[in-house]
Amino acid sequence: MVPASRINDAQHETTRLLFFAYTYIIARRNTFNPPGPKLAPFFKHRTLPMSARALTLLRSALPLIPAHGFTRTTISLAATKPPTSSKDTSTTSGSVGFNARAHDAPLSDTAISALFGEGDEARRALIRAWLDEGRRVMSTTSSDRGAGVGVPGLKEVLTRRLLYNVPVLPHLKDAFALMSVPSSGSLPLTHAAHVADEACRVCKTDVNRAESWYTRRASIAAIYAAAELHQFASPETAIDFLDRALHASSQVASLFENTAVYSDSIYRSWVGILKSRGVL
Amino acid sequence: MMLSRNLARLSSFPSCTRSLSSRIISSTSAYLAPSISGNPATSTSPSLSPDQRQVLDSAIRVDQAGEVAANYIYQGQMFILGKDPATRPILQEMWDQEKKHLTVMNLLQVQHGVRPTALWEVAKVAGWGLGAVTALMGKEAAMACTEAVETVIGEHYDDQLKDFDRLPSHPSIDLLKGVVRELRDDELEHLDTAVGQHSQRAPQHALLTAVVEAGCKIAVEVCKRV
Repeated sequence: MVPASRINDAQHETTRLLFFAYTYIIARRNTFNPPGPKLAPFFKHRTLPMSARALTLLRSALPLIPAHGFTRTTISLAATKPPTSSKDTSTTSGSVGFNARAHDAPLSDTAISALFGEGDEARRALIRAWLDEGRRVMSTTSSDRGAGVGVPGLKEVLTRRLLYNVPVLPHLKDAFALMSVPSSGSLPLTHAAHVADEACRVCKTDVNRAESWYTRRASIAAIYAAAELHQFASPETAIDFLDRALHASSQVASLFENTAVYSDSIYRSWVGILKSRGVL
Repeated sequence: MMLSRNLARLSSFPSCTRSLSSRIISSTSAYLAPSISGNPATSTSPSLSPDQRQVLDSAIRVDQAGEVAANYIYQGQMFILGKDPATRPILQEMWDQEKKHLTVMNLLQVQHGVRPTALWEVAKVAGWGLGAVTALMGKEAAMACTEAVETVIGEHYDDQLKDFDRLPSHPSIDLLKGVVRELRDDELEHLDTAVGQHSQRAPQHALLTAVVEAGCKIAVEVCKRV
């Protein structure tokens, strides 16, 4: 049998050890571990919201895509470039943007994963940013024309969008292949639809034509998708292909309109005949 | 009893201007007869959060679909009852107002970049069919159809005005509220006209109006989404 004094000593020793273990754990949690040299630039701006930093970085990465493709390297190198416009230096919170000045070293892979997620998420974010910029380029077609010149035509807007593809054409197939994965959404379908929607908005084709909203967009999306596919195979003749497709589409549309007018006139003549005969 | 029910409905709509003479400033005239070119109220759309944008989009989409259906209801009724010299001018006047409503809705849809309903053609066919079938049942049945439709539409516009209070203040939103108020008042005038044209005497009035009202409510909910 163990003496009571030895039991008390053991209890005291256990309590002392638990106390030291507790204080050791608490002390370790509260100790600030300074980041390593690769992550230092990231932590310098930790007060900014993540989405604003990522957006600024993506915007800076766009000019690098022709040289480096839709890759994590492009995003990494974008951190070393100065911001492309004054918009890059501000965020919604009013604090200084992530890329307010160029950094000395490219971003590490860990930092990119922290910003955009693991795997191909960073590449997908870059592709989406590039596509959004493409839609913005389409809408600048009207502002470039100046005041009083009129609304741009569909051919002009779609041509501008096709020309936007030219610098990144060698990388575009891989980009679309990556975005065709089911987890990324059906980009080939949505991309052409978004381009068609933006084209209709810029060209103001919807005024007094609400009935044909869907058919008009479906037709423009199909024409643009065909022209873009043609551009992959034969970049030099893509604009001519687009022109021919638009011309054929307008001929088909006028054919349907003429058929509708002709059918209406036939219908009215028969109604008139039947009324004159007293049938109606 | 039915007449008292409709009178109760009419009196429940707040601040309705019933007479044309009292409508000094018209919101729809900003679209139908614009006096200022580049007016931000008719040419811009506010920046909205996703929820607010969804409210605005579904409101304009369902209103536009409703005006399409209303136009074709009157077209169907005119096809059957157009030969009656007493009924024709009444239907024509209401139809002309609906045409103006549809013009304004089309301009609102383009201004705010709203996707129109995919059931556009269904609204046309269903509207024309409803108008023609009720007109075949007689003039009173046609008026009962108008009474039922305008009752639902009047309540719907009232609910929309409450939803628009969630949207931020912007010239285009303020104008939109004015337009919806005017459209609501016009639809209630049509309700007055239909009741005045003895819609209550339609055969199976209660059943007819219940069926038409139920169909309208279902169509409103579907067109908000599709």
